[in-house]
Amino acid sequence: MIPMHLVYTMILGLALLVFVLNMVRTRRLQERYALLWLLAGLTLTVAPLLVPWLDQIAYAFGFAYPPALLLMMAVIGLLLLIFQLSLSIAHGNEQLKVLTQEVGLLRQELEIMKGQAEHASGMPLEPARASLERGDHA
Amino acid sequence: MPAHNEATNLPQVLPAVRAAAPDYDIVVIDDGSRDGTASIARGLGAAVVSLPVNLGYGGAVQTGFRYAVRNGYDLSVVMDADGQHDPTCIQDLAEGVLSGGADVVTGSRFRGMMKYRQPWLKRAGMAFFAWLVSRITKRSVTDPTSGYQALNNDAMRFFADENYPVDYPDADTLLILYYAGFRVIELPVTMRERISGVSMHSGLKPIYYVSKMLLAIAMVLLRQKTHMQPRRAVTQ
Repeated sequence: MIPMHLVYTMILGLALLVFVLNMVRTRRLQERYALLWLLAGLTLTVAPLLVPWLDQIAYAFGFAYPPALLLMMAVIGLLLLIFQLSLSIAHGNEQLKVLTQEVGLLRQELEIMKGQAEHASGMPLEPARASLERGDHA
Repeated sequence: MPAHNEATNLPQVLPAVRAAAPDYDIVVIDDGSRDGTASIARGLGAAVVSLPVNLGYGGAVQTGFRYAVRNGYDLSVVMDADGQHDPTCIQDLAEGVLSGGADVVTGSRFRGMMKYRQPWLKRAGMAFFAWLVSRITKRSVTDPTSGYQALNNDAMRFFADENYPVDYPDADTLLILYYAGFRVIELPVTMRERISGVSMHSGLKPIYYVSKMLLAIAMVLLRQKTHMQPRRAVTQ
């Protein structure tokens, strides 16, 4: 018979697994960001079954208080998750910068081409220009 | 010329630049301004590249390099839009590049004239990094944070692709240029108090700045040791 607090942990782990998997299913979370969360859910689910071994491992590593090993592993796992987020933010920022520069440059080229087209045809291309001006103040 | 909310300064700055450098094309990079910077610059006859969101100084300057490379310019001079950089120095900086003596010429306020005061702590920090860069590059560098620069096409292309810092070009940028094989020299320029508005350096946390710069310099040196440094592209 497993103690109740371990059952709760397993339920929490299973709930996390179902939640993350559902997020992936509905395309709100990409697979690559889901992997570490799935690992966390799996750990929560399986850990209660491994408690006796965990205690042994903890003592072997010189932990006087075995749950401290669990906490340490949890902290390391969370740090990994956060680091992955930092990486993806840095990557996203870089892409955003290039896109922003590109939009600015293309808009400038477009305006010049529009000016040349107006000049050639003698007709103002009003609607498109108006939308560009609005873009300036957006 | 990167510009973020400089609508009040441009009517003074752009005509002064035009007068000092009549045969130059002026490009204002409107860095997500919300005060009509773009239309004012356009009205004053400058080409304007409007960024839809604010990228910050480095991102705006790099946009300028990309513009210059795309449109086939041989030389570009980067200067602030807030009136700090005296336009009469443009020709001096450009001459340093055009004479073939350097790929990048930076304008030093400490060799030239600085018509305003700075807090001693900031001066001490700048002096330290100037000393560090001078030591490493074995050239006298007095003003590593100067944003007043002239660059030839090779240097622009080097910065247009990557290799340009997101926030501000600084001591680490000079080291990157040095290790990439570019010749950088300093010439005296005049810098004044900005005409109006708040400088982008205000509220800068000195501790954050110094540790970030130390990390950036350490990384440049480490990349050099591990052969990860970007090199100047070989051009015929």
